[in-house]
Amino acid sequence: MSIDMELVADDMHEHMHDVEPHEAEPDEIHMPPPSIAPIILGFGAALFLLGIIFPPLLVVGLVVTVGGIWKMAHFPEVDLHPNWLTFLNDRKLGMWVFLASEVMFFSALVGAFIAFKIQEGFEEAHEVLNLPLATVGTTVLIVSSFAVVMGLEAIQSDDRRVFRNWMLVTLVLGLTFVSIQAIEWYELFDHGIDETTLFGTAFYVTTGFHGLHVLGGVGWLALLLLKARRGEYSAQNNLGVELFGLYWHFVDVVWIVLFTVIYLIH
Amino acid sequence: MDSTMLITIWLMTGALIGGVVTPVLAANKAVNGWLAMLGGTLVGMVGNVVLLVPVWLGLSRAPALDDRRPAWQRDAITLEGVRQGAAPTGVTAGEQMQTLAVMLRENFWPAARADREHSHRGTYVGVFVALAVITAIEVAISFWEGAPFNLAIPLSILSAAKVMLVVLFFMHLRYDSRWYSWIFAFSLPFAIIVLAVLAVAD
Repeated sequence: MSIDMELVADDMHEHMHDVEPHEAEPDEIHMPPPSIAPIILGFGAALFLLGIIFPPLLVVGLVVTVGGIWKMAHFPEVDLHPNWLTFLNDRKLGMWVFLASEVMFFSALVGAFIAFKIQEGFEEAHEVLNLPLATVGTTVLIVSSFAVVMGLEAIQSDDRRVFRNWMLVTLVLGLTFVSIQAIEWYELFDHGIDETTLFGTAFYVTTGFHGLHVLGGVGWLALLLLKARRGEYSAQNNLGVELFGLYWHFVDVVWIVLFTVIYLIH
Repeated sequence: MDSTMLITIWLMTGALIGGVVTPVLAANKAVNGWLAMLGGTLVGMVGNVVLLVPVWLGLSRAPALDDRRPAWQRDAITLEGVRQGAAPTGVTAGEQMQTLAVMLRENFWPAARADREHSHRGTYVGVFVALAVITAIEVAISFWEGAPFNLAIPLSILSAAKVMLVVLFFMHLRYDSRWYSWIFAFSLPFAIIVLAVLAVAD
């Protein structure tokens, strides 16, 4: 027990290395000042989405979003009083509750798609769907999931260079996946499958929401990379990376289901 | 074989794959086959240039290999090089490959844990390979004409297996507190009800 206490004390000493002596009182807690960055980010994302109706807003929204990400990257990663009921981490618990709500959200979309498919068959749509391209996209997402776990493994052993490289790989793969989706949408639209057909509605809503999740993940990843550049993450502080990983893997899981339902099952 | 040769072969490979695969993908599409081949060739070549960027980044940052030549030889070559304004040469292809392997290992293989905690590197590679293999099997099955049973059954089972692999290993539910698993599983009844109601409703 006494050895453990010593280790803890050592750990605390390390963390307080760059703090002024009078601030290092153990019973004083210094919360960082409140930040407006998440609000800017949310406002930018909302503007970006409104760009679907009024295209010039796409540019404005993107600029505001990137600004919010930039400001958020300069906010320290804090994990004060992290545990609820002493054994569950608050941020991780929140992430899992969010993911559980996402399961319900996507099951409604997938359920609607399956219901329409049972009613209509969607046989003619299978002629125009590009299975090879979608297989490439699936592979890209799976590789990106692998890249995230390798990155997390690296930062957990304080291997920052390997961590950064895998995260960059993930960023490139995420953007590749979105591009592949864009090509697929363009091709389908070219074949006269638009929002007036039942298959078009079901397909665009389902894959569109998934694609938006991937885009959101790419934004989060950009934020993560900016923070990593500032040396925010280490073997002691990597929960932010783990939470991003949970989200990214979940998006991968959704695509695994969508790929089977939309492309493989006739 | 020097690095210029390797890079040329690399670019040609990209161009070849792009040129062959794109017309196949564009078959049945309202695109000229030759145009697709030309575009694919260009994209493949440029793609392989982009793929070289991490290699170049690694090489430019990797520590130089020890020069094992005797001092007098090394100095002579360096002096000669300085006099002629050229960099010293004499690195063999084998040494270049070795540098490449070292670079890949240093940049993409996570270090072992400092504390004696178990590292999951091997598990992750195994899960990744399993996911890739299952995907390949799924795509192959979907081409099976005249199967004696509904193909939706094996495809659903295989994709459920993939989902379980990702959730258990990549999302760490297997190693984490059971509570997270319960929270996640809590949503499943709702999901199943939604699926069932939508599929039955007319």
